[in-house]
Amino acid sequence: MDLFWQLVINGLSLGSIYLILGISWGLIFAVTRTFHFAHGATFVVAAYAAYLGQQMGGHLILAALAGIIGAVLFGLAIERFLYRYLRRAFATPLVIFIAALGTLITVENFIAMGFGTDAKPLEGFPIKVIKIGRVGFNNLHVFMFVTAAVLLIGLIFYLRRTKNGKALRAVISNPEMAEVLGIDVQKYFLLAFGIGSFLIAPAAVLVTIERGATPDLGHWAILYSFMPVIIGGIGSIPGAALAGIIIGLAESIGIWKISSQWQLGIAFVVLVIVLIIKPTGLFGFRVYRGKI
Amino acid sequence: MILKVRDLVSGYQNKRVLHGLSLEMEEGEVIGTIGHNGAGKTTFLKSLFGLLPPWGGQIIYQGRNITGRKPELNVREGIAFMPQGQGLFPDLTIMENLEMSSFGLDEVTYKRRVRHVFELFPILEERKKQRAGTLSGGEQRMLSLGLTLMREPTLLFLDEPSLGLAPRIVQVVMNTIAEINRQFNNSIILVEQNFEQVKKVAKKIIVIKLGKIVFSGVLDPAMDKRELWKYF
Amino acid sequence: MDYLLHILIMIFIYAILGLSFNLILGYTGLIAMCHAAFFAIGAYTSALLGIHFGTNFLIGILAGMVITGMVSLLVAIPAIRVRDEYLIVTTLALLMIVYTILMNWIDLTRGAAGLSGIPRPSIWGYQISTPFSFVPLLGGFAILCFLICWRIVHSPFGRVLRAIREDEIAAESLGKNVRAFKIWVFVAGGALAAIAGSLFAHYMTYISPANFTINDTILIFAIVIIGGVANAWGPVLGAVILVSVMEALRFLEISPVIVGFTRQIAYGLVLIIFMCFRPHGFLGEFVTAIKRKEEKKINSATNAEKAFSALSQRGKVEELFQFPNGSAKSATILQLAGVSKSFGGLKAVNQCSLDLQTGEIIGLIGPNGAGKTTLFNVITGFYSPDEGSIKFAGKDITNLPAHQITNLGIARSFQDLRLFAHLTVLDNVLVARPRQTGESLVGIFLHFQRVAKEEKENRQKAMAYLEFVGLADRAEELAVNLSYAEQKLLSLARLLATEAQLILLDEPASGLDPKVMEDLFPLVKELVKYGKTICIVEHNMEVIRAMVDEIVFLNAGRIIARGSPEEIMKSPELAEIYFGV
Repeated sequence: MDLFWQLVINGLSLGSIYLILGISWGLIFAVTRTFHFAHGATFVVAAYAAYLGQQMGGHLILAALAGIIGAVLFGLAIERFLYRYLRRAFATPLVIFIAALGTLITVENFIAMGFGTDAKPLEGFPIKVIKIGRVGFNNLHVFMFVTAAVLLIGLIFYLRRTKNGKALRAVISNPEMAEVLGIDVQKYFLLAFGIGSFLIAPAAVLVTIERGATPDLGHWAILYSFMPVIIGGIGSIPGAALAGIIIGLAESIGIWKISSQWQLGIAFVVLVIVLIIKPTGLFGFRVYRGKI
Repeated sequence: MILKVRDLVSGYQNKRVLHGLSLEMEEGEVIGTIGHNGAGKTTFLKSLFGLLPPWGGQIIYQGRNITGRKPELNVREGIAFMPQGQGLFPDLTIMENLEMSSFGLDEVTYKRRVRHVFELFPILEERKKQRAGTLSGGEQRMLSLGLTLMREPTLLFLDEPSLGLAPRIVQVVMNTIAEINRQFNNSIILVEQNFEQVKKVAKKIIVIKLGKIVFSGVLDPAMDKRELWKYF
Repeated sequence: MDYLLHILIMIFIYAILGLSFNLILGYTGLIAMCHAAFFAIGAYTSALLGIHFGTNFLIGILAGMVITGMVSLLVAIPAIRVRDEYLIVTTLALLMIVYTILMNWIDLTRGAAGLSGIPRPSIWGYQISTPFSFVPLLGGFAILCFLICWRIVHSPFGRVLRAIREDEIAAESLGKNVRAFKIWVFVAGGALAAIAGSLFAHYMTYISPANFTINDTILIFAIVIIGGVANAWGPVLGAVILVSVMEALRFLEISPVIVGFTRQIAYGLVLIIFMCFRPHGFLGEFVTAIKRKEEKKINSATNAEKAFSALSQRGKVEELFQFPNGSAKSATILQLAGVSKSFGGLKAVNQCSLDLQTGEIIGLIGPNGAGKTTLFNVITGFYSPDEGSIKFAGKDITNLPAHQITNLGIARSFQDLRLFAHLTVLDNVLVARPRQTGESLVGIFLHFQRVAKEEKENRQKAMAYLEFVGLADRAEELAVNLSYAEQKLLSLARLLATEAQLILLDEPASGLDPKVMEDLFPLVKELVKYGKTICIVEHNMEVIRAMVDEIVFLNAGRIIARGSPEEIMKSPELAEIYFGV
């Protein structure tokens, strides 16, 4: 029984990160319909910006802030200068994808060149081990879970209660109608990228605290960004969140049975199973129509 | 003269749909536009409103040239458009939908206009927390109309408001349009396939066929409908 | 000198990778992220066989191809069923899983340590060990792979791939089993990549997972992009450029680690810059079409009548539109019985029953939303009916997929044309030709003569169809460069080329000049002389009156009337329904 709880806690902490990755990417995809492959680059930018922040003498909190600012600026720049340019030139989704792929590679390798490939740590989080009965975990796990919950609730609140949030949902729901009502859709694209990039930063910071930042985290991050969205259903923020948790739990239980190095394979198996049973995802229904 | 259109040419990519339309419209007028599918009626409205940049010609609104101007600017100046089909946000509630049509309005004006919309469509107030996509066809259409009314438009374009509705509801929608025209004395261009209903609301009719206006004037409301085949 | 040979050898290997990936990405438009995985599987399979069993490298190559083929099949079958974005996801996951397996199945792969001692290739006892002797071997394979890709690309199979890239739905509607094509090209591309992998393994004699990371997929992308997508020579050029650059960087006195990053940055920038400024690469398949706003002067349509009468004099039209075997002139060609189709709660087609006879021209009219296009989609297999049955020439086609229905003899046009924009006019028509042996991989590699003969015949036929609509002189023009009216005519020619007996036209007259229509009507009417049956959805009553024998009146998904245009237009009740109650 203790083992069960241990697995659940591991799964939840893994899943928390996947949740954040999923909702951040899912928002951008639902609003802009862009397959933002460079979201992985935003992740690494956030992680290393935080690291830099700390190197320049900052407290952990300031480092985290640096990570957030770096992520947001980067995400906005990609939309404003790359994607928007390509869209105006009538680029096909394939072209946009390749450009995003190029961006991810370029950014990862610039960072590798500048910082090296050894894992860069983020110090300052007082790790305390907590034991309940024979189940052990640490406060970082709890913090991850709390962060994910806060970000999810915050995002849902923002989308449901603020005018701009509603406008984002409007663009998700019927972008043509948004144009008809005089809503500046391009502005809201930027907002989506801004919020999506803002959300991924805490995940990057937490992962860096836990295992250190390496440049190749970019393609790990993008993979775990769209997997929850595909599994949960495009356009559904709660769906992506739930899918993230499910993947985390599945991996946790899977690791127990098989070696930890097969982790990715488990997520992939979940993905394939869902795609075979329900190709539109767990909560996906009409294409691109979101229930937030 | 609220609207003057001269030799409007428009289309999509390399397909020319409108071959030079001209029109003059007085304040407070309701013009019904009929014609077969694909004749260019929706292209006409979209080109006027700015959703489709015209290839040629001029659109003069209240004396100013607005040819090819984007919808954002037109909306702020009192021109509104109700698109064909589902002209609303299905995943948002009625209240949220109305809010989306209120950017740029101050709180007082916003509340006042929502009042107006609910007075005109009490059923919308009843269901204001309901998701728009779950409303019935008629209710959805009323919401679409309501969205245009949030702008208290002086010029209103309506694209097939009766499409897909039961005959009884079509009556209600058309009566509402007549009521809107009465209350606000705005100018309305109404595209329809349903001639029966249009003639109740609009005195002046234009018929678009293959991208050209083939009739402009008053049609005898009592005319035999079979006469219309020649215009389609 | 040895070093230059080494560069040449790497160019050969990466050229094979680029060529094979180009088939998948450039020609078919599939965004597959896992090419490096195929490279890896080929390499490891061959290496392991060589190390543990001492098998000849040729057997190793074959084994690598087989294993890779199986893996790619396993991935393709579920992934291709769903949207293309999911393919990115699944192939990326495959790549990372293969990498994980290579790193962790230590018993088999020795993990990060890699496999060393891979035997050098030997042919008839002669061992190939010097760079100099590798060059002809690898060069030979590179040329072989180039020829294979060349053959694929310039065959009817390759033509269908490009059609799929342009518009899948149109390809399906012309009778092509799109899903099968996608799976085939995926497997073929993977198998070729495996060849490169085996050669790589036996050349380097040492491989490790580090050779097969996502970075290598990026390099392959870059090779294809820079050289020119969908161009047979493009990947070769791309390989030359990028491999040379890659190796040239070694000469700069920077640490090899930094060189590695610089290379990757260069590839990444290549991808970004080319997408922004030259998406079709240096060579490209086509130059960007200039968007035309004004309709071009149409002489072609007015020539149609003349062309037609000239043709019929020579008896060519008889050939073009041969009578279908064994069907009498007045046979019932289509039978709908109680067909219904709902979407959500809405019954778009409601218990429709309809019989069409050979040689009829039927117009389908009805107010907006009456279900006309939905009915077309149901008949042609794009939707499955919820109830009822559909029989074509006596055969039940109710639940058959669209491409099979087309092959049986029903073809349809689309409201929005759906031409293959960046294919030539002639290619657009050629794709539509049925029963092409050259559309299978087996066909193009085992039946050279038959394929060549069929291709020659099909070209003649295709040109005849183009002459019929008056577009013969535009045969080599890209479809996207035609005026709208010419595009409409092309869509008709393409439709006719399927040799379908039942032709469904969705708003054929929309967007056309009255003058063009006057020339078009007689063309269409002539077709029924040859046993064709035509069903037209139209909203313009002049077209209906001029073209059809009978009108079928649809309202709210139900067929409520059928009769001649005069009868229908005389009815006050129908006028009420059409123009609103």
